[in-house]
Formats: sequence, structure tokens, C-alpha cells
Amino acid sequence: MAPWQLLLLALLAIIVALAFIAGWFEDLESEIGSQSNPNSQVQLAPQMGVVHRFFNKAISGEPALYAFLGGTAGGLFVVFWQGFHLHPLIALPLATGLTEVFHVTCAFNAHTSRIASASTYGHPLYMDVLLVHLPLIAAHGFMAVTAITALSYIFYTSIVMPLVPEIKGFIGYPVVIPALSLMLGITAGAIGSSTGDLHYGAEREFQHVPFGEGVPMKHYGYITVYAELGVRNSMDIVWFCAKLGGVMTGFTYGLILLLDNFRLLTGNLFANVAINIVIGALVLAILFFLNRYIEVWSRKKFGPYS
Amino acid sequence: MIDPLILILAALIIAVAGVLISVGTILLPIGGAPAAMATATGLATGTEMMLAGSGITGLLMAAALYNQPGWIIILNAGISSAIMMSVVMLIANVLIVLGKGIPPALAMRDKDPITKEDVKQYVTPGTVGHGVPTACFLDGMVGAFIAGVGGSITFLTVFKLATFKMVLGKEQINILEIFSPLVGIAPHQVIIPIALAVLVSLGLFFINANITAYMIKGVIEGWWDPKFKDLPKAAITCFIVTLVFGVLVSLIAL
Repeated sequence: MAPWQLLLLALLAIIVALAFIAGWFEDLESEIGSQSNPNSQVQLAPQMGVVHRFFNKAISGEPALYAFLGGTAGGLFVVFWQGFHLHPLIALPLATGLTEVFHVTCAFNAHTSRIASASTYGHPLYMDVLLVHLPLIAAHGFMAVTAITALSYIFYTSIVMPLVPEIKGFIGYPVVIPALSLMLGITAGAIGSSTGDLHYGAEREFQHVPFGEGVPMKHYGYITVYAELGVRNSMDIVWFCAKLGGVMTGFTYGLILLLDNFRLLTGNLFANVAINIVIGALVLAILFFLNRYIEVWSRKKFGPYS
Repeated sequence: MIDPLILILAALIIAVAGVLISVGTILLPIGGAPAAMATATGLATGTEMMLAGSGITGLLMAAALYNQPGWIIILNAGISSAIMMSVVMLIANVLIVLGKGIPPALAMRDKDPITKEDVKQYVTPGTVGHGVPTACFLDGMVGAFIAGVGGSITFLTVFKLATFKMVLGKEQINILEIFSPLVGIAPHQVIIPIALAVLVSLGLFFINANITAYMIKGVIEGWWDPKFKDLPKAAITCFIVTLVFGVLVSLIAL
């Protein structure tokens, strides 16, 4: 194997690793702020007379927020990299750090206004909850957005202007960096919202409902407000969800980019795009049967509702 | 000078792509907010978000294969979208099984339309199903494929028209040329047409998914759902809206 072929494999590995980090931290960031669909219960709780210490920021849906953050970070990155001629490794954290200022501003406004709207039901605004969670949101958001912007940089440069000329055109997407990071952000948000949030919404938010059944409508709004020790806040949720929900979200994003780029890379290496289609169809069949296996396994293991 | 025939034909192609996106959207198993609490069948997110997420994977694949023949781009983009959707549905099932201990089940039918198994007994009382059972999985895979095909047709039309004008400087365009391969064009030459085409296709995803989301009101299980009967209404609306959008976009690209 020639050195440039090894370099391509290394590039694929870096892409998957960055996607894993992006998905993982994106999901955890959304859970600190009860960002996505489980937010409906945090919002409903004060109306049911449940006083909680959760951070409640639904700035928008996760994909829309990450499109905003990714697009901003990508745009600032290009300005620092091409406009101010900074090294990409310096431009990247600088751009993402500035983006987090926007993010934290949105989070602060979203939390205060959401809790203020619950004051009709006598719900207080806890200052310590507000101040303690904001840096955490910024930190997790920083990791996710940095990974997304770095991914866009790698995708763009490896097809348009690679450091090693032999690998040109084998991997990557010829889309400008701000548009690419906006689109990768939407995908990261869509994945985090549809997979990782299940662990928060179905399990952690309703831990007093028995394990092994869906949450019936009558429990809506009555979220679990006491932790293993003391009153629960959003940090306890991140601690719990980092064990399964966050990891699986990262795994999903990594797997999608791995399967897609592996298809692209193999087709390009053999200079035959029909290989892409065959691998794609095979992957789809394998995924379908894996899903069927999990369904049959779980029905055998857990049995019918009784 | 803009050729009116090319303008109308390009707008019609984009309108057909819009109808495909609408059909793909209505096929996705979407559970919305209740699905995040394992109270409804499907994926725990909004229609537009899931469609945009899966469609973008297809669009990026189409952008990477920009110089290939049209049918290869369209097929590959559809498969990419279907892979994204399938992986998400698979992991959603893993989380619902391992994270909450519930087997996937649908509630609108007593038997799974594909496997003919009795699924009613696995549904928790007070809920309308959970997870993504086999029929919903197949439904979502086909829906994402169709939506990915629609998105890549839009991408191809706008990208080729813009490339002919900006890069090649062609005066006379045959509309069938948008499905033919591009020979001898390096990626750095087509950066602007590709950026225009992916952003237009992304906008088209959101427009058509939104119109269709009004029809399904947030939650849909699959083709056996009564809301699926609203498909012709959604498709006609999407066709008209996308036709207007297509004329405006073709005016930019031509």
C-alpha cells in the first residue's frame, strides 16, 4: 500500500472520530439545557405544580440551533483563516470561542424568559442554576461546534486544496466551509434530537415510572425532581446520559459518516461508481436485518406487557 | 438572453423533485415530542428536521460526485439519505430497548403490516406505541430514499444550469444536458455553482417538508396511517409552490 493510500485511511479515521465527538457533545449540550423534545415536559411541570431546578433553554429545535452555530463558526473560521491569514489550528478555537458568546447569550435569554413565563404558576428563577449551567453549556457547545467546523475544514481542503497532492479528489465534499458546517450542524442536530434524547426523555426524566414501559400520558408534566442525593439539576442528567444516550448519538453520527465516506472512497479508489451503489444497497440490507434482530430479541427478552 | 422554454422545463423538473420530497416526507415515521417519552411510535423529532438531516447526507454525496452521470448522482444520493435514516432508526431502537427496556411496537394496527406479528400486546396502555418496528423502518428507509432522490434532482438542475452559465459560458442549452456527465472540470472551478445548488436544495427540503408537516400534524406511523390519505392534497400544494420556487431559482441560475 502506497503512503498516500494510508494517509487516506487516516483521514477517514479522523473524520469518523471527529463526527463521534461532535455527536456525543451535541447531545450532552442539548441535555444540559433540556433543549429538544423532552423540553415539553420541563415546560409543562410548573403548570402541574412541580417546582424543578432544571435548566430550560429551548432556543429552537436542535438542528436549527446547530445550523446557526455551525454556520457562524464556519464563517468566522474562514475570516480568520483566509482574511487574517491565521493558522487553521489557531483560527478554529478562536472562531468557535466567539460563536459560544452567541450561544450563551441565546441560552441565558431562553432560560430566563421561559422561567419568567412560568411565574404565573409560582415557579421561581434560581440564580445559582442559571450561573452554574451556562459555562457547562458553553463548554459542551464548544466541543461540538469545534468538531463540526474541523470536519468541514477537512472535507473541503481534502478535495479542493490538499496538503498532499496525491489524495486530491478521493474523499471530501466540494462545498464552501460555512455552508458545509451549517449542513453538518443540521445533521448533527437531527441525529441528537432523534436518538440521544430518547435516553433523557423516556428514562431519566421519568425515573419514577417503572423501567420497561413507555410513559403514559397521565404522567406528563410530573417529572422526577429528586436526584440520587438531594434535588436534581441538569448536571445530574448529563452525568447519567453520558453513559448511553450521548455515546450512542456520537456512534450514530460516526457510523453515518463512516458508511457514507467509505462508499465514496472505495468507489473513487477503484474509479468505478457502480461499486458505491452496490456497497450502499448491501449496507441498507444489513441495517434492516440488524433492526429486525433487535426487535425480535427485545420481544423475546422482555415479553408482552402484563 | 434567457430561453423561456429552458426556464419552464427547469422549473417543471424542480417541481417534480418537490413532489418527490413531499412523498418522502409523508412516508417517514415521525413521532414528534411524544416519541421522546416513548409514548408514540416513530422517531423523536420534527418532520422538517429529520427530512433535512437525511436529505443533507444525500446532497453532500451528490456534491462529491458532481462530475458523474445524472442517474448515478441521483441513485447515490437516495442511498445516502436512506443509510442516514436507517442508522438513526436502528440506534433509536437500541436506545429504547437498552435504555428503557421496551420492545418496539406500533399501535394503529393489531398486526405488523410487514411481518404479520401480533404487536398490540407489547404496547403499554396509555401510549400509542414506541420505537421503530419493522414496518416503520422499511417505510422510513423508502421515504428517505425518495426524498434524497428529489433533493438530488433539484441539486443537479440548479448546479448544471449555473455551471453552464458561470463556468462553461454556454449560450445554447439542451435541457437533457443536465443529466450528462461533466468532463474535465476540477472541483475548485465549480465551488460557487455547488454552493448555490446545495443551499437551494436545502431550502426546497424545508419548504416541502413544512407544507407536508401541516398535513400530518406532527405524528405519523406509516402508509397505514389515516393521515396518509392526505398525500394527494400535499403533493398538489407542493407542486404549485415548488413551481414558483423553481422559476425564481432558474432565473438566478440561468
